[in-house]
Amino acid sequence: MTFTSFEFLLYFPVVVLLYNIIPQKGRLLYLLAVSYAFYALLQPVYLLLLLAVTGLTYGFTRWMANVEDDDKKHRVMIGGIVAILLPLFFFKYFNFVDNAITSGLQAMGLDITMPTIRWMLPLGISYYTFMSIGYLIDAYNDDVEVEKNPCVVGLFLSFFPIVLSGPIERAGNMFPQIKQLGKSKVSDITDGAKLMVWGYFMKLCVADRLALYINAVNGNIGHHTGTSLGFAALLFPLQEYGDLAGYSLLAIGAARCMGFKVMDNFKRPFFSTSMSEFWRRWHISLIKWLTDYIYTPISYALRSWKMSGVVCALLVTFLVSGIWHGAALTCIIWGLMQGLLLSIEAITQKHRNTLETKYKLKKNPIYIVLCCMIVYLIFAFTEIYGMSSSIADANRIVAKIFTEPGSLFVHPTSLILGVGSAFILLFKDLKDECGWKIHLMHSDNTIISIVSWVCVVAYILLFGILDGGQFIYFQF
Amino acid sequence: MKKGKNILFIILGVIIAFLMIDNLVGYVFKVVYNNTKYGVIHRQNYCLNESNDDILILGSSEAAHNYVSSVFEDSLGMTCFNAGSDGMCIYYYYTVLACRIERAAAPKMVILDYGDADLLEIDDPTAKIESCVSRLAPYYGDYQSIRDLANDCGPYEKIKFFSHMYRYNSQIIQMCLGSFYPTKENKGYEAVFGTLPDETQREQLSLHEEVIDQSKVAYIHKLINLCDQNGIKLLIVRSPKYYDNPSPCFKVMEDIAQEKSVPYYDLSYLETVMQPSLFRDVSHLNDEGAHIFSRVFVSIIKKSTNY
Repeated sequence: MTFTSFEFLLYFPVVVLLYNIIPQKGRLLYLLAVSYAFYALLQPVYLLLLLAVTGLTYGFTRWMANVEDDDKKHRVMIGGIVAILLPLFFFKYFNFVDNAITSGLQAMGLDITMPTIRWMLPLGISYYTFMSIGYLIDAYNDDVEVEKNPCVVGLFLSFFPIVLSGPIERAGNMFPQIKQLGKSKVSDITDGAKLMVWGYFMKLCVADRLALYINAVNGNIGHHTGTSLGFAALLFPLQEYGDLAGYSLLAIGAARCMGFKVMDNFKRPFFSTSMSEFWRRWHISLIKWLTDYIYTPISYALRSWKMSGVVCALLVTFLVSGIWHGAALTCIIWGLMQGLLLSIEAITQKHRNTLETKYKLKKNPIYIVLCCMIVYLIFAFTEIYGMSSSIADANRIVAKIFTEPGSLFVHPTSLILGVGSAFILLFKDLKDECGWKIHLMHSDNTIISIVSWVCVVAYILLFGILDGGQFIYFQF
Repeated sequence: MKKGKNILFIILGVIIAFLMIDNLVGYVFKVVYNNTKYGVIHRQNYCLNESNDDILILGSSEAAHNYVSSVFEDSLGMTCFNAGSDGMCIYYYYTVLACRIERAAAPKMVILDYGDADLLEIDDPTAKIESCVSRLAPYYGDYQSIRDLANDCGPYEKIKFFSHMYRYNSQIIQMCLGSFYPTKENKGYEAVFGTLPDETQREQLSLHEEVIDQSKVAYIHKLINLCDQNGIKLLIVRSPKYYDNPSPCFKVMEDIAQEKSVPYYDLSYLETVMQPSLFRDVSHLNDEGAHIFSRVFVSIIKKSTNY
């Protein structure tokens, strides 16, 4: 049962209703049981892994709290991080490292095949592992008080709205809310429902609709022209935005219905005028985590290297980001590309600022639009590597885009509905970015607001991908 | 108390607004859908709601592109409609036939063109029950057979289909194209053009791990039984392919046909059409190839079934 399944729509209101009926004392155990049940329905066996990571997190933080000596405390923290990372390594990266070693040995003329392990990736492991490590480090730095109640730690790591796909929350934000567990206010439920409806629009009408077209093209590179591949590459960031941001909104909205305020994860990223601004608006919870726990410590340690230190920190941070996204060379290349782009921006920052000030470019709308377009195109280009299954495929796509133009593959339903929905999404983002006072869904007039939201629901029912029944039939 | 009343009014308001919009939009879409003049929706409307053709051809894209209805009509002296449809599978074929029977318009003969997607568990949306339900959703209120198919799809379909708008999900573009973009209609037959390169060699597909989908097998049995109960002459066919498929699933169908005494024709390697110039791609004959194949198949039918 995922957020976009019909069963979730049926059971979630019941979960919220029971949460508000149950006495305050019982709500922690109730939410814990619901969260574990939600996870178990998806992957029963891997619930044990989630419990194990929870146990490790609780154990190491409690151990640190009882250690006086700073060096020993530091060693306990490192030990805890290694222990928590081990499951992530084995489930997500073992085969990748294994294959890399095998390839290396074969390149040296040694025909040795390392044993591989075939097992499913536990859902959400990248997210709850980072949340665990974040809590451990925050506890070490005394940024958050070590929690004595294991159920609080358990709920923090398994909270069903965020366990599968984030946002990557912080103990400092969630622990106080978990301990309070007040009834949902009416405004919580209405705000939460609105966030969820918009999340469903983004996921079902934009992301899943565009995915039909993009997967049909990218799944058959040999049969499509460079024009089609280029067009799919241009659409991919919109699909990804609809997917990730839509799912985040569903999580944030579901949490809000129960009175929880979870951090925003996306902030209109396609209105960024630089890559560094883009990465402050895209997958915010991940970037904040990487900034706080990787970039800042490294750049501080290398502060004597000045700009070289900044560049190193950026490259390492985005290398980690790439690895976090996937156990593949393409993800590593993607991460390094992002690091490189940000490094170039950092190095040229002073010169760009001078030019922008001299020619008053920052207030020039043409300059702003041009910058937004360039950022979008750069991101779309790097995503060719991020989304491809191999470097060879990514290179092939890039080569075809520039050397093999031709007719565009047109699938009317996917393109018209997908691109149309994307335009609606971008228009809403533009309205929010510019602060235009066009209020339909958030109108003060109750009737206008209700009708607007019902129209969004109608749009989703008519044009969203609601089940596995949609496909593009492509014949060769 | 006042707050509670306000909340209740808002909830009621949302429900009423939704029901009004749902019914209004559903009604408008139903009218437009039923009056579509061209394309796949028009053909489906005709087949389900109007067709009294003696011969009904069922199958997916191979059926749609390989069987020329007019050839069957001219040679057999019977009316013929090709209900083959891209991307559909056995669930769709059975339900289309069942709907015609529900309308008391049972055909005299059914030609079932099948492929491995009609027997195997395949991780492809075109081979799943959901895509068939989605295609037939606009008729949910009209045919019990379609409601039964939806129920087989899952326990929550009844609730989903309560919404009229849901039934027309993703249909709007096809509805618009079918209303304003004329296409040539030929009793359901969809001609395709183009050829394989002359030097194309017939290759063998590599065999992957296969699992027979028992639900699909059950529907095959249902289709056969339905024909039997309604006195419909059923023929099961594998139409020509420009590749070899060593899948053992075809033996399963052959055995079922033998067990149920249904004429079975494996024409996947029909020599008369085994030329690249007669294939649009390795799975589908082009218009010229379809005409040749249809004439050959009709003569086979005449010889073996006394039609």
